[in-house]
Amino acid sequence: MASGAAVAAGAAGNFLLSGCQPKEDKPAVDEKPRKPLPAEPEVTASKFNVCNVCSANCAMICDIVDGKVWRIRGNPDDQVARGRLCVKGYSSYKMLYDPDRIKFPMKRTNPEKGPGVDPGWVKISWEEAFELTGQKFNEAKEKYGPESIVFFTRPHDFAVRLAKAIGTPNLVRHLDTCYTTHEATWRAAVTGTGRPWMLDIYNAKYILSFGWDQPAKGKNMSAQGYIHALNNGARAVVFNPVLTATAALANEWIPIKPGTDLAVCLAMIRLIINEELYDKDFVEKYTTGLEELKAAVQEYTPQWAEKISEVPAATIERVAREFATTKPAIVPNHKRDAGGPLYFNGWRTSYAFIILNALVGSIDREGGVVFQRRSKLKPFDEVFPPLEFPAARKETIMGKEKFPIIGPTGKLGFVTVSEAILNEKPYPVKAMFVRKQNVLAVPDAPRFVEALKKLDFVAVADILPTEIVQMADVVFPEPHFLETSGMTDRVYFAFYPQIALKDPVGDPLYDTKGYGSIIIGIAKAMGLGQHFEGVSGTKLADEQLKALGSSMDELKASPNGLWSDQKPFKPREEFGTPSKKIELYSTVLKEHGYDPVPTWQPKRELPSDTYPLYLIVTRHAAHRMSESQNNELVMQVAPENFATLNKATAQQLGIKDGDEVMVESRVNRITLKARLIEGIRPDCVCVEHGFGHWSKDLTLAFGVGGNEGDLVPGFSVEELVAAKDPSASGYMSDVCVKVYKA
Amino acid sequence: MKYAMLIDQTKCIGCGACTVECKGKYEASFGVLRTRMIRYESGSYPHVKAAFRKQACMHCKVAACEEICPVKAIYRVEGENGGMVVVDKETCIGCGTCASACPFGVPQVDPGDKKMEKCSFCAHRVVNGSSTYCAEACPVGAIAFGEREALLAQGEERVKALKSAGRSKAALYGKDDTGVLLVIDGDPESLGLVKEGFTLSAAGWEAISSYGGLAVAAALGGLGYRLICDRLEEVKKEKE
Ligand code: SF4
Ligand code: SF4
Ligand code: SF4
Repeated sequence: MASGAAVAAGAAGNFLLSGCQPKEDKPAVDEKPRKPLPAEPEVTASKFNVCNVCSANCAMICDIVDGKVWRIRGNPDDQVARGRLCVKGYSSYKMLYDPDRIKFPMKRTNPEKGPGVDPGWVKISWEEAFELTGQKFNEAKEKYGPESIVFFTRPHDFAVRLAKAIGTPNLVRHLDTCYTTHEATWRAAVTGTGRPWMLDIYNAKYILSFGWDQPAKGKNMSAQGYIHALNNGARAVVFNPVLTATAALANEWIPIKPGTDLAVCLAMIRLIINEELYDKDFVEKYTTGLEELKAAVQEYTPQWAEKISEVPAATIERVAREFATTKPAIVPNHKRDAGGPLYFNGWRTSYAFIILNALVGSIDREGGVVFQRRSKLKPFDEVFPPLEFPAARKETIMGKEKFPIIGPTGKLGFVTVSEAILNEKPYPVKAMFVRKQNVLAVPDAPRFVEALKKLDFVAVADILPTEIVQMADVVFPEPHFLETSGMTDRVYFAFYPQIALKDPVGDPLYDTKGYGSIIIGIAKAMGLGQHFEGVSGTKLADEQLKALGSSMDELKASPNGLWSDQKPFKPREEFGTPSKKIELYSTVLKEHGYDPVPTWQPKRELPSDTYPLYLIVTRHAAHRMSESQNNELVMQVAPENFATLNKATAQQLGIKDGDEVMVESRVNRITLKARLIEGIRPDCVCVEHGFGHWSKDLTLAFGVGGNEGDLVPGFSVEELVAAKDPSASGYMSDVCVKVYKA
Repeated sequence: MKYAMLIDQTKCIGCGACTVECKGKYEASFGVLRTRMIRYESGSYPHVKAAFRKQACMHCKVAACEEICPVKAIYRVEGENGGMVVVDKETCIGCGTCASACPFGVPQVDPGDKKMEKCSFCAHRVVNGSSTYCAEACPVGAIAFGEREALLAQGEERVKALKSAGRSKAALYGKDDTGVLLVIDGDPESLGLVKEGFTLSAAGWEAISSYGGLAVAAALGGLGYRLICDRLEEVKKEKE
């Protein structure tokens, strides 16, 4: 990173010197009339679609030139997109045209598996791909029981039905590395169901962020809302060990010690209650447990929090008072913030966020954390009533049954999957079906590779030949999202129900099949076709819209590609807890043996002589997890990831900007280039996620940077149970490392 | 120039949406970008500030690149909506003299076609009254496109608002010098910008030119000059 002064001086120096060229010595030039400027290409069609890069699902308008996507714009009438997209959405069409895409079904011929091993792909027909998968799954089912087949996917009605039809309870999901801390605490203390997704940052006047960094990560509605609010005079205070863009644009950046946000939150809660600065109407009407909470937090003085967090007590007091007396105020929460599954105390921090928001009356109120008003879509099982399913085993490899709060949501399993497979706990796993997940996303990825090697059969549905594809026996090529049709509900910003149309930009480029068809193909090959009689994605969408008084045809004819049920926002008066109120002292947590209030607990790993630095993980705005490193546009903006260090720390370690360095934890080590800045705590090293690809079939991504997830240890279900964490979450940054020259 | 862009660096989150949107619309080699984001820091830990700057052609009123180009490949778009500084790729010989002259470090010689590549202010759209791709893309509205007079007023307004919010160093950069205006919060140097008033007037350029051969050696050295001539010869041969 060039220092400002150096760049300016260099440029000005050149400017003066090179400005001295005499005219008469210039070589002779033929003066020709200038060619006219090129014309703007003619857009032949504009198709509505929905961005599938992240779950915000911004509604898009895709302009087509010469049969190809030329440009994508944000749909101005969509509540999420508001006429713009983020850098990931704008560049998403390059993946559609990625020459490395999987173009036909394939099977491996080399039984050996692992990084650096050529799978020996051969092209096969769809029939063969289905037959082979059906046969292998049935073999596993007969020999080891249906539970030996594991789904390693994101939620999808078709896949869930297939799992039920097979009789396996094992649907491993990644949310324990993503947001189960938020989910479990909202579920227990507020909703009885899931967490809210909508942050009405737009209308907030005080934004208090503990590691919430969505604007810096480019997330469309968060970035728009944040800048809008700041322009409207909102005050933003950001606690983050790193000076990210969110922090840089805020009024105040407070470089807090990693994993200690909970201490600051607790001290703020105490002050707001003791000084009676909370919203009395809201707290009285809509919450319970204030007295119990008050008693529980008395030990958490600002001075106590200062010792733990290195945030001055006076700052904690001032910010707490500002937060409680400026309306509306919000503690935004999304996924991997300080209340996310980063640290041992993540769920407690998330609960503290809920309490802070409740104390200032910002739950389901404008300018606060709002429950998205979703469309009431008829459930899959109502549109296509299921046949009877075989009874599945209660015990799961994810330990669902051992986590009474998060277990029933099924949103877990990533953190423990490697241990479960390698130790055959609670029973052996033999076959796996994978979709839209990758090896690099699993904690301690090298260990997960070992787990995958242990399986007899792996089938993968994907678009690009990622690392998990390299571990597959059979590969099903899927279309890119711009080639798919259907509709998607608005979630990340929905003051009223709204549905967006997905209209393919053209014919599929390759011999692909939609995910639903792949599931049905496997079901038929397994002799389970009867569970999908008459089932199709098109029919589902149409029936769901009809139940809302519309239809797929009507949506297709809509001039803005949207169906909207624009009603005024009515704040919620009742909540989904036993008391029907927001529980500041959670009876549900208590009933299940968890701490009913967020008491202090430190993070698990602290710096030691061997591993003296905290690991901070972030994401570049242009990248989407480990999915975008082969995107030609994205890679020009963010071509690699770095080990970002404070300049002073680097000097002590003898590391210069751009040096190759090793980052090593107790489980693995990775090699990266060092980047030196001032805006990071000297006891931290920050790495962007998404790099370190080892699939040679990814031309641009292969061998670039390192995967910080390799450094993060996985856990066994038993260890998570012993942690008394209702969210069963992974601790994705709760690891210390050392950095040295490679 | 009738039109301008007002880039508000106090709103910019450095996301790179402008970069990818622009890059996807103009052909150039991998890594050759017409606009890019640079993160600048000032101060030292823990008293650090950071800000982003959208680094692209500023469309200077008197443009060093235009003045110095030995083959006059850089010119102004004509017409009522014109005035932006663009490159005539057929004439450009890829010598890179412009790159060394530009006070903002903007022009780059594309290693693919060996021609200079830089932001054209989306001239082909703007002459027809459309906005620029980057302004239309920026998710947070940090890039405004419009008539210069209106944007000057908007920029001053914004600076006033920032100042009254306690940001005493807020300033509007480029009022007298450039087609692209920047709202900045701090000294120009803190964002890698030359001090304002850098632009030599056309008369200044005349004066420098009249120094004749003496300056040549100092400016580019005999070698630099020979490079231009050689490249010109090459281009001529290629065309034949
Ligand atoms: S925020 Fe970006 S990646 Fe996410 S849906 Fe919107 S445009 Fe796509
Ligand atoms: S004005 Fe046009 S050419 Fe210049 S940076 Fe913006 S999009 Fe690119
Ligand atoms: S798109 Fe806007 S916010 Fe993003 S980098 Fe460009 S100017 Fe900044």
